[in-house]
Amino acid sequence: MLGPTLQKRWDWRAAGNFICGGTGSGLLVVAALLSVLGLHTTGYALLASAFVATGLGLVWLEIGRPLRSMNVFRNPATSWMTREGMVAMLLLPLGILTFFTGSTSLLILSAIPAALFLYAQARILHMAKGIPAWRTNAINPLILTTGLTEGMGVLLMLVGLVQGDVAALFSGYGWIIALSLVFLRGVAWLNYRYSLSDNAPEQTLQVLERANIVITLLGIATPIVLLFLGKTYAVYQLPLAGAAGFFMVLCGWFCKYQIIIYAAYYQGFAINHTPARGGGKPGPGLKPGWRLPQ
Amino acid sequence: MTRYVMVADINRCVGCQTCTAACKHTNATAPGVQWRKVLDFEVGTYPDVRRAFIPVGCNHCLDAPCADVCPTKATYKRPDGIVSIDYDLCIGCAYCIQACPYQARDRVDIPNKAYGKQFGQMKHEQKVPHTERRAVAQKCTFCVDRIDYGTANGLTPGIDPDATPACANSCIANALTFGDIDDPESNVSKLLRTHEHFQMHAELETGSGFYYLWERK
Repeated sequence: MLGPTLQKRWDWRAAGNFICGGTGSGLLVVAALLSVLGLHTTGYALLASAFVATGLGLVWLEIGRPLRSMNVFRNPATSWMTREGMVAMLLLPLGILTFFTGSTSLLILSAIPAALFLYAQARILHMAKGIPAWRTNAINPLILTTGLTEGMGVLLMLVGLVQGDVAALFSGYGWIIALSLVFLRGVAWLNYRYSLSDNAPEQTLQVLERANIVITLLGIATPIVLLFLGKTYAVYQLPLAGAAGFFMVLCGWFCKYQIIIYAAYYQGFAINHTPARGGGKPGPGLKPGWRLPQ
Repeated sequence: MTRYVMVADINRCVGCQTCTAACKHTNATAPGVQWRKVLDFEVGTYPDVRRAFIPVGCNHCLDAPCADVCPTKATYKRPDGIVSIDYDLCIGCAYCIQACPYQARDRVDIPNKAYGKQFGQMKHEQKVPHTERRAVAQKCTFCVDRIDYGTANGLTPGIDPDATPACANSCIANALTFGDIDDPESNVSKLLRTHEHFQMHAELETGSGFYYLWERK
């Protein structure tokens, strides 16, 4: 097979780490931000930690030699996977401690490793040079905004659990933050697709093309409309916030699953020249499976 | 300094896959795993069709993406430029497989059977099970044990067969040449001086240690 082939080595378990880890770390960061704005969000810290732990657990199930998993901490100098593991070791206890103490200061403190964890996840994909859909610089803002938007989405879905938080969310800056995150994720998605438009295998582009309609309609347009409706109709704020959150989460998970499982074609093989045969001259090169020659 | 590289003359390669067979024979890779293989490119449409045979494998990159991403330091770069794997450290996370733009790496959890499950493992497979490679990353080593043996015994890798990778030794067309690119008088340095050459995916700036000669200067 000369053209790019689909990676099969990272399956749903690896995707689950990016999905759960992104949602959990995003939730911690957003919860910390909203706590500064007066919402009671320390309770989300436990859920966020559970998400991150689930993601790491899924990865543990995927590695070939799980009993050696502690070796993952051996290369902080260059490996973002090591760095992800290290900040997780800070994030998890801080998140749990925040939940049990209810301390806003601890929540804000735990947002720091959460943000680093999310950034590490983005860089893990970015450093995978063999897969054009991952190595583009545009993957970083996409993973960051997606994680934060998913975190916001979870928070919107559960915001009714704390008395007065729904009203506070829509009367203060909370809904503007939610709206901004959805918008920023939309921009990041456009930027991501643009970055790959002439720089990825044909099959990657086809997958992203198919995913685009779902992400644009359900992940960007729908939450924006629902959030505006929530701002306008105070009586329905709770269900509208929940529905907006649901679509924000769903779209983020869908987006990551598409990128990690279906769009992840390898670089493939290419030659700059073909050899001379007989008394002939060397010929042009070839890059099978790519839309445009590089 | 020393940096071992492989040079493949694509005008010479006939696609016989002898290097592939020699590699499998030497390294006893599992069925379905080929550390060295030859791709068959076909370019153009009839009647203007060209064919090229391109040997591929680990490029032993100068700036190896696999070594950078490895969380365990199992993949590391030796002072002589060879990218090696410490199987005992590797956790089999497969990150290096995703980072390699040359698709040179594999992970085998349960080895295939050469003739299907009903026949089980062949006798020669049973003799060299290589359990240390199970469920961890594996790839071309440039036959590092031969190189180490050769350098320890005063032999020159790329010149003396006992110190040269099996693929280069076996090539029937002398298309594969192995040697030290940092030595200006080495066989590979001379070839690169006298031929036009390219590296696959040079735009990714991996500093590939696999050069393809395509025309004499």
